[in-house]
Amino acid sequence: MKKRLWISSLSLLALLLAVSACAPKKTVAPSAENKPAVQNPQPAEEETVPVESAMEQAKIQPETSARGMNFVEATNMDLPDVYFEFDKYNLTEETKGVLAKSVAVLKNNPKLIIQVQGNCDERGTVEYNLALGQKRATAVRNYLVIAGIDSARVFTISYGKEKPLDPGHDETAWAKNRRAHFVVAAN
Amino acid sequence: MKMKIKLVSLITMIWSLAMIWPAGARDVNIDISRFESRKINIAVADFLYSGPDFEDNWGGQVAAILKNDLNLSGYFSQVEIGDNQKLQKLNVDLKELGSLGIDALVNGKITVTGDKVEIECYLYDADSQVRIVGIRYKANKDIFRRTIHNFSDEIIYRYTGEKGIAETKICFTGDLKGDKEVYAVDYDGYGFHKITNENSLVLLPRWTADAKKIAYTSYKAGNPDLYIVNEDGSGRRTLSSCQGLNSMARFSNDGKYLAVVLSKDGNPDIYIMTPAGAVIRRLTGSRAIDSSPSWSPSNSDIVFISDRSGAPQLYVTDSDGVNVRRLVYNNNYVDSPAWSPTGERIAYVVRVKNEINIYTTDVNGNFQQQLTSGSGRNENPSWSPDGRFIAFVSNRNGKSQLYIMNNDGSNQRPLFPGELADQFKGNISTPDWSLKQE
Repeated sequence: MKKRLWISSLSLLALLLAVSACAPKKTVAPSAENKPAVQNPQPAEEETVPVESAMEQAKIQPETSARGMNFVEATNMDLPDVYFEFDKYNLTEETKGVLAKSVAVLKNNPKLIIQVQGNCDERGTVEYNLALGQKRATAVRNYLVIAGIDSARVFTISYGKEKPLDPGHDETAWAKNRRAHFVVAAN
Repeated sequence: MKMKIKLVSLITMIWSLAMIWPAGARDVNIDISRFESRKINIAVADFLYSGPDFEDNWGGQVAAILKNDLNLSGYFSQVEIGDNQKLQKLNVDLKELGSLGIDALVNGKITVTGDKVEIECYLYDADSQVRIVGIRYKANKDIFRRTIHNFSDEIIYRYTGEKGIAETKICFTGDLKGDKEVYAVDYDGYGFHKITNENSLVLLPRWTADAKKIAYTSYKAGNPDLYIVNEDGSGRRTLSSCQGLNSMARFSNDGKYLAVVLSKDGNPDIYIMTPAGAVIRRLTGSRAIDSSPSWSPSNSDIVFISDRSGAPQLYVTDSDGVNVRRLVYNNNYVDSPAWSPTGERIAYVVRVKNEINIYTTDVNGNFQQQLTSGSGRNENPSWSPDGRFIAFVSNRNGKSQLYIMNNDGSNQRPLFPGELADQFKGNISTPDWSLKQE
């Protein structure tokens, strides 16, 4: 009962203070977001998700807002797309090899800010693909950060299955559409 | 079963209406047990008409809307009487009904003056030989159809005790010219209209619990942010604009909270938010994808999907985030859960190869039923508020279109009636069925 009361007073407080979640200059009480009212649940089963080591994780800072930034296609830089296996968001050894090129470009252009766009093929659902595209973009971001790129320079966005590169409905098209694509901040 | 008819009904609506009560009778009981094993034979007379535009056949239009609603409900079968002048009369002789095989009769009168309509609607029961209900509506012409839908629901309520769904709507996204926008349509496929003008990618529109607003994700500001807008497209405001995903909003049935998927903490997880946009708690904390939340009707539980064990599967959690349990053990790919408004079942989709099909399960995951098969992609099931129907999209005939079926998978049909089949040229995705606007 006590807990319930606390939750409702917390929500009332949040209601009074917030305009929208993560709005610029937000005034939500910090406790409202950082302390879950209830402990996060334990996963029901053992996870099969790749996990970065603790030291690696420490480097990865959450993204700040990319609002107001204008990302455009990189015309004179070698930031090749990387591809994913069906339904997967982990990076293969081959993918990591391709990403090394982007790491070099970012190191040679220390002011360059990029956005990683996560995309999926058309076979899944709208909802899961939206989350899957985010996981793909985040996996690439994490790799770049662990390779030494400042967290603050790499943003992500998921387009789910909504922006296929190849409009076809076959294996060739699907393989092309399961990709992370890089765009760069225009200043 | 006897159903008592209440004399005082507190209905607030945007039009004015008046109940007209049967002279002398204060309480009417009709025996509806006889309809438990058969359909109710109902006759709807063309309404009498008074006004200028005879060519518009207003009286016939009213009857046509009523008949369609009653047919769609599945409770009634029509006895065609057309313009039978005896049955059109407001002082109809009820003794004749039985011999015509009619259980219930509807007639009335419509008067058109300028942009106003006044409609008197009457429902008579043959068995008890009484006028059960009479309502006089005064409305603007632009809500003419909704006014008639209101009386359809009144008929359904009087004969079944169930709240009808004739005033509900379905919203969805449609693509044209590369953009997606939110559209909505009445449950019978009429009244199609565009709601958003984002000129951007728009995803996953969801009604608020009061059916007056729609939340949706738009990429307009360069990030998938969550917005909310009134049903008429006015009053757009930002609900959630965290870096990353702000999507898959579902309002609790009491309207106090919404479950939403955010990736602001580095991973797609489900959060609980107030309708003002304040995050009050994080519901899931696995490092896998947790998404697609849907509330139980009592708001005590939330069904969602997670790929924490590999492929996406159904899980249920208490709405405070504890007691997570896996619902269905299925090696395939599962998503788009929707808890039925009556609580007993959860609809979801399963992908096998390139086909996606709609299933339902009981809330313990013991009894699954496949509702669609052999017809391409059948996606995003959304329940009618009475739990008797499911709207979904299917590409069985080429482009992705809106369909409806009974909750056991029977009677699958396009939602748009034949004459309106081509009213939208694009592909339709992610339908969401509203509750009734009170």
